[in-house]
Amino acid sequence: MINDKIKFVRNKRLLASRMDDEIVMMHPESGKYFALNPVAARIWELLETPHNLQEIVSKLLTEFDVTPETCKAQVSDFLENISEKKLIDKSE
Amino acid sequence: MKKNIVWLASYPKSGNTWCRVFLANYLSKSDEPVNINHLNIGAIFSSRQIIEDNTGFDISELTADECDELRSFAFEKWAENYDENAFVKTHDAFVTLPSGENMFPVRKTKAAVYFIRNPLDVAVSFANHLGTDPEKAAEKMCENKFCLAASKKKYNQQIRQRLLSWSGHVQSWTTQNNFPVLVVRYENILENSEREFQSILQFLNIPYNSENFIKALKYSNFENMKKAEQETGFKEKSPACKTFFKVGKSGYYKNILSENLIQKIINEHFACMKKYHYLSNSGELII
Amino acid sequence: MDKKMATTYTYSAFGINISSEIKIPEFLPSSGDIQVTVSYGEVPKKLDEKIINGFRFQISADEFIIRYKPWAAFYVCNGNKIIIQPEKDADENDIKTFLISSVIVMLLHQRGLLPLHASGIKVDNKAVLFAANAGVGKSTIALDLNRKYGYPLIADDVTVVSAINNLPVVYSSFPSAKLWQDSIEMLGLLNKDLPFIRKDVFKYRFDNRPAFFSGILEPLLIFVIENGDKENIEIQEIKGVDKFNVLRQHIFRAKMINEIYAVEHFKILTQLLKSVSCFKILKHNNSNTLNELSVTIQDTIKQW
Repeated sequence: MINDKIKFVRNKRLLASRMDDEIVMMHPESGKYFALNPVAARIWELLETPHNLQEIVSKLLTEFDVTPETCKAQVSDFLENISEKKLIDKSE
Repeated sequence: MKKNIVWLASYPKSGNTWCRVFLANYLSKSDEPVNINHLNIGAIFSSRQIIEDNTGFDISELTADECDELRSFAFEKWAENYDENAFVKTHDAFVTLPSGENMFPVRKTKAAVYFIRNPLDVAVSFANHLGTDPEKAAEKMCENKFCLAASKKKYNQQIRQRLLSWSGHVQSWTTQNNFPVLVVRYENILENSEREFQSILQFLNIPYNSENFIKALKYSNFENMKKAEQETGFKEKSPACKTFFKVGKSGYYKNILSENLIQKIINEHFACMKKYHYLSNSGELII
Repeated sequence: MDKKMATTYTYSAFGINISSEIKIPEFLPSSGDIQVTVSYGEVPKKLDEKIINGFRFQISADEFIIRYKPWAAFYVCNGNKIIIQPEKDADENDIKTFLISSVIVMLLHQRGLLPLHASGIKVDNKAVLFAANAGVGKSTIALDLNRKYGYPLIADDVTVVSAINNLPVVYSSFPSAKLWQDSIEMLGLLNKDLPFIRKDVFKYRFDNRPAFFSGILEPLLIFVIENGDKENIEIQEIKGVDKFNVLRQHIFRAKMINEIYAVEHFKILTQLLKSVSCFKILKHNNSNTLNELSVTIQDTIKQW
């Protein structure tokens, strides 16, 4: 589980571009492509500057109709997922 | 080097698709019949797309002979995507390039199953396929230079295929010794599809699974294939004919071909018809 | 081959000025500063640092060798030089045909441009592109829209896109189309005595100089055309990441270059797609739909 000491920020080497309300990304070293849906794209936007889990969840709760528990669980999963794929960097 | 290409070779209208429907269902994990328009079983040796994708060349600026030079490389590379049997359907005769080099990727070939059918029935079925009369179809079956997809008029997803005459086609595949060939008579599949399909699996060292076998036998039954075509159409059907899965019976030619035409086909293909038991030793028609 | 006192011709195509020892009547003449030279000479046997070793071709980031046996070998390097080594008895028309299609496109890739497998027309002062796989009818639809509505043509097979100051631009290619016999019939060009692109290759070359616009344009719309089996023509706007995924399939010779230029392509393609709308058109896989297709496209253009 991700604790709030960890801050996340975009991997600056990634190429990313908004396509309507989604984002397409490419990892220049691996050559892999990724797509973010509208909610994920919003999180990506926030991660231009370092954010921890709680900060992201708080922002999303004001914008999307979702319960705090669901939101936290899903954002947490998402962060782990894209962190594994090296789309974001972590710092303590 | 991995040898995993398996040819499903035949003159057109000789049971090739039937076997592919069987194999597709046998190898499918689903309980539902495999859609005949998505026979997820390998490729066709004349596929323009596979050749372009695996060589990078633009075929539309090449001559038919130049395209043939790309085929061996393209299919060797394509076959690397498969761990086991990479099935390739072909109506090409087993010919070499004008240079004498292989047109077929023989060094990656495991084996071939060659389907043969009474040329008298082929003539009837082929006429339907080409949207012409049996006389014209029979003429083509005697022509050494006959090719499929040779139209110069428009873009074609298939590249030109050299067929030789019917006998020439049979001989090209059955007398080559680059890899083992199992010859399967269409009439034998009609008579006992269970036995014939089993022997194909055995020949190719594909493990036997009775549940899959029964399922595949049922879904590749002629009536079922015909019904599937009525429901969804069949993309491999030539635009010139109305239905791909037609009659399918053996000896049907007797109702269609004239005495003259029958004699003409026999004269032309006598030796080959005798060898594969469409004529008795004394030259009498068996079927 | 003897090094004759080479005559050179100067041309413009894909927004580039080219000096060439081989005559290319399909290209437009030019007098601008030369950026690319095409000459006869010796092609290296192989590349030292190849990334892709394909069938009769090799590619590294800045170099490309391809052999069209038995006609000629081509060497393309640094986005500014093409060397042709013809075989004995090679036909100059064959060499030129390979040069102006597959070979020159590798030079475009090396120059960091985005060559799309698309034809194009000029609408007002903007570019409208038609991307499609071979055989779907890219050339035919562009020519038909020109014939019916008078839109100038800007490309037949390859359309080059670039980004200047983060804004996408489209360069016209050259005024010549390659057509199958059935397209010639549909377009009513039967009375013209057109030559084949090569001996024994049954595609015709059609010079469309009078209808051609040469220059740089801002892109407006992209239509991606596909064959389907539905009776009616279907048109649908493509949005989001789908847009990127669909258009990436239409990068010219994508299969040959694999992902060597992926970073450049990503940058230009996303710039392009941010400023244009994309429509996917499904048409029936037969010839009778050309008229309906043109009308559908014209309606969409007019609404824009």
